[in-house]
Amino acid sequence: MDSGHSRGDRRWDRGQQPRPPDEQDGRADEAWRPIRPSKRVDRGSDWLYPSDEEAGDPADFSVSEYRERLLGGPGSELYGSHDVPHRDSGPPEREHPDFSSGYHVPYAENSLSGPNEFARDFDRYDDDFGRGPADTGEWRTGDFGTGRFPPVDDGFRPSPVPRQSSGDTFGPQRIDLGGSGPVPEETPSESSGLVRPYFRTKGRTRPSQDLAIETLISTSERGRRLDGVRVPEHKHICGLCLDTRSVAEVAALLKMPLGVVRVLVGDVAGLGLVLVHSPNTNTMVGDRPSIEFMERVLSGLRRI
Amino acid sequence: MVAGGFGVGKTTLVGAVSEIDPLTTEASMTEASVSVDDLSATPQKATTTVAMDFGRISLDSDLVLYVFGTPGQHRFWFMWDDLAKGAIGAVVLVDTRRLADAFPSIDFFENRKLPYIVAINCFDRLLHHSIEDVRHALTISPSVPIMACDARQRDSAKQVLISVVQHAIAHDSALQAG
Repeated sequence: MDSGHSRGDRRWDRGQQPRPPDEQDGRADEAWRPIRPSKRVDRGSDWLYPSDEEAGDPADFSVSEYRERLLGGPGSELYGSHDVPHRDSGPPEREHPDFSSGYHVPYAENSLSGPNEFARDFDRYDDDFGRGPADTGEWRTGDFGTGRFPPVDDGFRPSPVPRQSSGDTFGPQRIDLGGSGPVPEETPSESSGLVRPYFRTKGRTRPSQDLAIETLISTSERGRRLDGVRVPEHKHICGLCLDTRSVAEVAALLKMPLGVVRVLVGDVAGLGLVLVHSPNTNTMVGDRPSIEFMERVLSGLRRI
Repeated sequence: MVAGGFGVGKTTLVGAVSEIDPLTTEASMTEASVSVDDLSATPQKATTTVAMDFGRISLDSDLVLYVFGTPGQHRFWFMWDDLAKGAIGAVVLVDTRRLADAFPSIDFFENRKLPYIVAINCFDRLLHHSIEDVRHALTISPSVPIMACDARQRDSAKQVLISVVQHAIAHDSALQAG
């Protein structure tokens, strides 16, 4: 802390206007000197024993100001700013408030009223927008472009990030503020850190080949070797299908949505890592199982 | 394919007859499905959830029967088409205290012309209504078999499956005959 003070002293001291002397300054210097006397003496000769009008009070004063700018603001108590008033106790405290208010209050008001200001803008914007195209403020039309924005408001959500229910009102507001930007982005970290399914499938929703839920797949010889299989999901599927399994089973065991697993299994089958056991053509008649097949099932069921 | 309303015991039936523990395509389905509304409020969860459960029965060295329990929630209706494709037949599991829950399932299978039977799950081993009353209440044709079962009992569940296959065979034979 002291070093910070000293830096503040020196910098601010030079630029400052002379201030009336104060005993407070003397005390601060006395407290400071025993710690690093040599440096202080080296540099200080011009200001450590200043003429009376070049009092250290501005130094001390500006220290507090500097420190408050450095460490002040919300959460300033985390930096131990409680010793600033301690050092300033005494006459400078009378001066301190207006000096710091010159800095602090606008800052605080900015930081506090900023969102409110925007919130007010939001409200105004919402009102304007609700009124429809009759209201054409230039700032709004310029910001939104012409035919692009209304579909967004109609409930279309291009973002894959799921919105909270309040997103309905938040969406247009965010777009409105795109230029000014002080509103922080919604942090996606609030949602889970899971990999999105569309990432695994690289955005595909249809498998490369037609796979029914019950289609049986088994790992091929090539898949058993597992060398050259880099994609973790592919590796998983190859590992799971050492026993013949259905697509549904793979999905359940991988704990992934069925559609995703279909795409992935299609990939793996395309790579020749798994074999897809297409049902015998004689077991199906059209889209119905053949009667012979069902009778086999029936006798099998009776046996178990 | 085992269908029916929410919580009538489809999973129980599948589990009773399956040689493996019934698998669901989403592990937290049971907690999640308790509060359907909460789930729909979190779309992220709903999209990763494909809540169907199924069991497997190896009937032969080269024959595996999968028994699929349909998702009970309406938002998974898109799954039903997948499940019905290639299915031998369907069981509509019914709780007589909540008969209306079975209507959507019956409508679906009748639309798809998938042979189905109705199995009344006797929750406390009591058949509260006569089978003909249930048939009347559900307004299903006399050709559709209705049977009572206890979804927890393996033998009973197996009997249900046998009935489905029998009915499917009869249904398809009748279709082929004319």
